[in-house]
Amino acid sequence: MDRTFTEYYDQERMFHGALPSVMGTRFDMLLVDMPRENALKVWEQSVNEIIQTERIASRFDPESEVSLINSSEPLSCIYVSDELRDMLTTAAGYHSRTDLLFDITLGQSPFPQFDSNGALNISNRGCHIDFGGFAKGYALKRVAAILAGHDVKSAFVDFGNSSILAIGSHPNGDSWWVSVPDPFTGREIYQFRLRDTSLSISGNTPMYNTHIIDPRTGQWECGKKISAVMTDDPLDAEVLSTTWMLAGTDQRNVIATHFDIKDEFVYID
Amino acid sequence: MAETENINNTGRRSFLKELGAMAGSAALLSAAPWLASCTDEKQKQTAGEKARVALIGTGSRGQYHIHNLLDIPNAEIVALCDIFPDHLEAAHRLVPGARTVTDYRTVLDDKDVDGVIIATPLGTHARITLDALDAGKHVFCEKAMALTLDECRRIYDAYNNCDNVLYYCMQRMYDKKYIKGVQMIKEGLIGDVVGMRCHWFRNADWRRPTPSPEHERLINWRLYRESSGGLMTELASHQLEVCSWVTGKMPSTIMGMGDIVFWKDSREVYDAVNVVYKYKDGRTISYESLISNKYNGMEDQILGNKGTMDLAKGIYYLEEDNSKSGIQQLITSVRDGLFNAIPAAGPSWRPETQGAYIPHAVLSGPVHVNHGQSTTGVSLDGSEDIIAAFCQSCITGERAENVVEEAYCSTVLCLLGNQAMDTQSIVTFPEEYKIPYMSF
Repeated sequence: MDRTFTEYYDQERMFHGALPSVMGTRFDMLLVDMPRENALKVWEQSVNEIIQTERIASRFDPESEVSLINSSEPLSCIYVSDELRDMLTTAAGYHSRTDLLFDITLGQSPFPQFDSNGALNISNRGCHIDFGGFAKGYALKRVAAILAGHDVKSAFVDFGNSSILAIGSHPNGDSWWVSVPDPFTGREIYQFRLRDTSLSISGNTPMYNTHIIDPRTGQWECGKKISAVMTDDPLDAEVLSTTWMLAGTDQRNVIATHFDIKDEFVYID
Repeated sequence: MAETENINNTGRRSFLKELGAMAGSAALLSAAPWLASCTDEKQKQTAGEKARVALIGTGSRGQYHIHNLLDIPNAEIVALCDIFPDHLEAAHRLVPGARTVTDYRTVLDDKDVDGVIIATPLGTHARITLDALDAGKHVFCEKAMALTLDECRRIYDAYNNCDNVLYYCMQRMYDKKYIKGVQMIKEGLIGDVVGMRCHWFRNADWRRPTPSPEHERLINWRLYRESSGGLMTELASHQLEVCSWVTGKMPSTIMGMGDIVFWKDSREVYDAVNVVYKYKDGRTISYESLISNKYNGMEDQILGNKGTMDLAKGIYYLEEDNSKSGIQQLITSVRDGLFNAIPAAGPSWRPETQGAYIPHAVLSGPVHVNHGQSTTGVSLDGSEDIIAAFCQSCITGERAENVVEEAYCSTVLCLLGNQAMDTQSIVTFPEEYKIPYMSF
């Protein structure tokens, strides 16, 4: 746990844990009205889960399972861990439910397929897997299960202020109240009231506008655009906020029928 | 968060243990592969065994190492060597049981010595190192590697033609905040590395008192070109190593200006240097050192398109930082009994002023920061750990991956920096000093 910071506020019985560098961003967890020892257990389990997900899914770690797959010879077969198999098959499900817009290959290789023996078949064009836009939601879903297992009643869990899991409510309110500013002007453009739900926000900022690739064209989506999706499932929210950056209005309406979206917006300047 | 430079022995020992535990992490070993030779597990395997070491050079730095060695359970100092009686006597008072000699070759002939620790003037590093390797001894040598490019190459070649262990005291490679900071950089925390700014400022003449004039060049060897590369080999060598470590690449062209600006006391090495190292891809290292003004202190700044890592302080800053606007506001609202909307996502635009950046610590808990003003050595800068790793290697015979290569790279860059300043020309990295480890 040497990568983490923790602090406990006795008076509020509030725990704050932070992992400053994971999955290319920062991870924070606020647990309210919990004894310190219980909160530490939740925190440690959650961090282990997140780091485990990163170890499997990070394409920046040359020793991760994804890196091994990405560097595999074309037309080879590989057996992967159960967890990576779950991630790949889950991502494949989202691929079809989002009209192929959510694509962990970014359109740079065919979608990986498992054969009847359970081996992953690498295509003749190799394999390019990028779990950006997926892994944080996947990890949050795992964290949600840990929180439920410990009967956590009030928590705010946050990856880089853009992937949020909110359990219960703020101790002084009826929800966790979040505003979304326009990254180009700072002006508030939307508010969400989160309670036992998740919020994911995607978008470009003045400094950071080359991180979403349209798999149909291979081009960066660089527009002054921001999308946010609130769903109960953190992974649904994560996938959809990225998808909404690429989908037109009609396509969004069709895709939305496959999900239970609580609230959403797309802002285009 | 920062502590002063004095840490007690309990802190030192727990720090060593922590580093060993850290080294068990695969991600960490990917960032710092040399730690593989001193993991916690390996330290346990050699518990109770002793590395029998000899100090060659017992001046201030040699005595600093002695103090550290006395805290290392698997180190036994069996011999002390120096040609300067005052230093030898002072060292002997610290280790009364050690033999004292004045000729280093006596140490090399001693079969009871497993490894030697060379803390002599730079101009003697090559000769003693080569002789020690030839005598079959494991070697730990102070930085920089050697005084000339040819000497560096000879040492590198000799190392590759033997099985001995060789360490250079590039202590940042064993400094916890550097290790974690570099790991974070390699994990993408600050985005693409777009440049590096390193500087080291002091306000001191770098002179030591001498008992008599004939000892001037022996004691104040740092000031004379026959024995020293000046600020580049004594200070920049550490910082340029960090640049090599972070980027995994070497600059291809070097330019610089240096002079004796303030300490006009018959010294021969520059007291002010400005050197720019340029990589093939256009990135640069901007290096500056001055010893007549300490306002700017010492910093090793790695600049990324998403943030800045100040490795010397163990702090990073993000170009777009949500930490203040998000979770911290939320904590404040809970503690103050308030309920309001906290801004999420969309990093807020900020004016391009340095003051707007929020510092984040690389490590949790107390972090030791070396302010760079000591001319001997400080606690918890990695020196204790690298010499402990050397003792470990003396027992196991296991080399520390990349330590020699990193020392070679940084020393060559220092010497080329001096060459650029001396000739006032743009120096292209010479083919004959390239090694397979280097990537340009």
